[in-house]
Amino acid sequence: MTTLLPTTARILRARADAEVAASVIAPFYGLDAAIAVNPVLPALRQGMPAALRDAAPALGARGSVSEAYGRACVESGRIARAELAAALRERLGSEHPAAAEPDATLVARFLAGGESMEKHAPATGGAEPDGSERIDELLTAWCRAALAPEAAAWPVPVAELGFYGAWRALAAVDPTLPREARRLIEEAPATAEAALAAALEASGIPQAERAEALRRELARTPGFTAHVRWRAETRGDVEVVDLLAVRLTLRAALGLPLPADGSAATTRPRRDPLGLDDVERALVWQVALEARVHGRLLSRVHTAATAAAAAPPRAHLVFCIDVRSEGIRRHLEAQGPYATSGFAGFFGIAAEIEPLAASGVSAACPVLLAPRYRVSERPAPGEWRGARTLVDRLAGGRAWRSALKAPDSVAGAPLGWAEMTGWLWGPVAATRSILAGAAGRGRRPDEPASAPSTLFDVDSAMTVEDQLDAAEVILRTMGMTAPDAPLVVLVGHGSTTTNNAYRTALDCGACGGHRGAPNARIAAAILNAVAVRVGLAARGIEIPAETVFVAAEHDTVSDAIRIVDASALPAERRGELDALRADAARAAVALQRERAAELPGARARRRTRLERRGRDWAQVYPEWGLAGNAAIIIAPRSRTAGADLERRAFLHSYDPVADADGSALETILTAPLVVAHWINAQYYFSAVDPDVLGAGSKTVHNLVGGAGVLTGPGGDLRIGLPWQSIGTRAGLHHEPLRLLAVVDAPLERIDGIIARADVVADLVFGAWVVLVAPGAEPGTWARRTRDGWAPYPLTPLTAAAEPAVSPDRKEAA
Amino acid sequence: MSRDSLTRMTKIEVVARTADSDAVRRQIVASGATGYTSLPAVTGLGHHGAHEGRALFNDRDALTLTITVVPDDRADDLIEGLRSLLERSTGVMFVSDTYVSRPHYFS
Repeated sequence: MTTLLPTTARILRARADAEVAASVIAPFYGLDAAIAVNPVLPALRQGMPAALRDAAPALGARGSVSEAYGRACVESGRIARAELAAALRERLGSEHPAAAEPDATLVARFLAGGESMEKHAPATGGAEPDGSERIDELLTAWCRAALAPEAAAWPVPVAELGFYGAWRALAAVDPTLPREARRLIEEAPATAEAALAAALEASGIPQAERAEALRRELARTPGFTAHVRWRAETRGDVEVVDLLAVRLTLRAALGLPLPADGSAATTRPRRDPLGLDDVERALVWQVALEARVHGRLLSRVHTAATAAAAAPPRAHLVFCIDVRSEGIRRHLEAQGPYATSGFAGFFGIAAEIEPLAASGVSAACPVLLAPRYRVSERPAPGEWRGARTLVDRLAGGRAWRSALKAPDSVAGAPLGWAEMTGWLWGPVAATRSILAGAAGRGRRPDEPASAPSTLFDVDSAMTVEDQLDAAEVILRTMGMTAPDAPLVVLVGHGSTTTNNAYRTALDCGACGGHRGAPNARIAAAILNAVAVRVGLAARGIEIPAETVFVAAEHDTVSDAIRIVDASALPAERRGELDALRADAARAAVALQRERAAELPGARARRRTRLERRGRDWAQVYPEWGLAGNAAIIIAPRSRTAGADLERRAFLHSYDPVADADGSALETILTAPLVVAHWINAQYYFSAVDPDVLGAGSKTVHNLVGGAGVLTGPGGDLRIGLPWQSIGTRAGLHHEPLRLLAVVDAPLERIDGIIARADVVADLVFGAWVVLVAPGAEPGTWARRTRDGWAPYPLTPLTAAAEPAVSPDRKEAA
Repeated sequence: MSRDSLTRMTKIEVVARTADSDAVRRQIVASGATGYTSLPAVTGLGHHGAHEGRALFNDRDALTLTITVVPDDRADDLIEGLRSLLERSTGVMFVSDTYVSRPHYFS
């Protein structure tokens, strides 16, 4: 190893190589506030075909469904031959000689081509061990200690010396490393960037190939690479340069040089007899797989607005766009005269929230947004005594849990601790297992069983003008400029589960992976404020004096809707809430019965008790989350009223008539559509490659602080969703389908937004989403691609109401 | 005030996607530059067409302009480092002479 310090120019070049190398994988947000993200997000601009060709393979991952999966779908009838033929013709184009062949011939040629390509596929996964495994092992062990030092078995001086500096200090005296290696590590440059530059110089790899070489190194541990990218963006205490500096210094010290480019001699893509390469074939399978589900959902969207209800609704409930809201909205509307809307679940409140008695604040808004203000939860007037009791109780609980865990950090102590306390915890564990959620109330450690009445101190956080702006945005974006009901309920959502490392992944993504009630409460408080109402009237939004906004929360395990701030309603009107509670309870029962048919181990009974699953510490399937998501519908509720969308569609309310300048639609397409795509892509990639882009089985997970999980005792951090979010022993429950974006707006308005907003163009032209809008003729649909608008016909097959059953999506029990 | 009483330095301006701007700023700091100015959500018309500013609910998918001023002897290294960074991503860089009245702020 050279001990000469590299020049600034070389250091900057090495830093650039590292940044370029890392730009293939999205940041991983950890589990404290799990956020769904497209794992190959940096490739968004290149489009999905390019991502399948380059980005996913660069991570050693499969980016699409396999030939075997496609063939199984054909054999089971999940993909009809006519659907496959249609997808093939779309890919080949009408000029291709095979396009005129009958369906059966065309499909037979395609299937035969797949078998032939599989037979002659280059060998994969059989790389000879070259010592990289030893580097992986040492690096991931250091990452576990340095990135979650609170969980490390001994103190690590990361705060003082940084990720690389602390590693260099400890590795230089690590007796498990050879003496010569320790000496070389000690002599390595003191800073990460200099060490990286020096190692690259010493490697002899030509400059033009260095970024690719570093990318291959990062791809060996995509989990920690993704997490470090997130840390670099947020805390800034570690960056990819540090990770690579440790990795390459270790290589040099152990005499394991950076491997030369194994794929330098790039082979031309293999092509089947129809002239399609692997990625083109994968996209044919993808379109064929999507045809029936997309077609069925679209066929249920009314192409003409349904007649408005004769009487005004009893209440108007605004839910998050989350696919789980579709079910509760549908069942609630069936109970009585209720109107519902969909809006991003943070209700336009881009806030950092400081809960009462919390040890910190959290950003309760989409990760696309930086919080604009901090809102604190305070005791309601007269409730200070109860608040103090609560604070004391929570502090005591935290101290107790901390004391119980203290022996874990002392070498040798855990065994003795288990001996001492096992007699106590054994019966507790046995009781929890036997009762399996049948008793007690499911809650999180920091959620009190009872809490004093509180309010959010909006006035200290936002000026009246800010509140007025927020109120106007909320109402205009969801098209509620003239509320039609005297009671408007803003319903956030959260999931109550126990012993679940992925619990925040079940919470509201729009609220930054947190429960949605605080945002709903803040929004309701703003919309009820007299000064805001006056200001809204001056801006042309008249809210009747009797209209009151109330907050609530939908628990997605039990489907219960809990009214949070009932006191916003005058005492004489509280009966309205009683009626709502009763109808919501009936809707929850009906929805639980519907969901039970799909949940492993659940049975659809007259009174199904799914809430028990949330309390059962052994239950790995408390709910299905957003599995099945396949569409986002941006339209008035009249387009989807009464339609069963199978809890597969994000529903965002939008009134094209009230949005003449398209500003509301632009907000929806540049934010909720993007978030829906991130969620959809996370499920997609977790399903097509559960090994690399999914998190594996929950049953063998070990937590690394709040950073993520490992499978077993060591290895890389797991990204993506656990298997229990996408599949069962029978196979995949979530079919990897792209998002069908149905936008009820004039085509030229959509085109204008695509032209102005890069991210929307990337999604649509990059084929990450399938965007359709009402066609020129009633009952028709048009699809937007890079080439313009084209008819999007619903074939008799795709429009059929028959359920689609994939070879894997079966009765999960 | 004439330019004779000012000190000539190099100004480097980079317009890049906000998601890529962190890397730009890290590169600037690593070069020894003493500071930078960052303007989020810039708008304009360029090679890829018109660019809107920040969307109402999306700060991330916008363009950010990052400006730094460095002594001439540090400029070349930084320019090369930034060019390497921008080789495979969208973004433009402008380099120009500039004059400052407090040179010790920048070196």
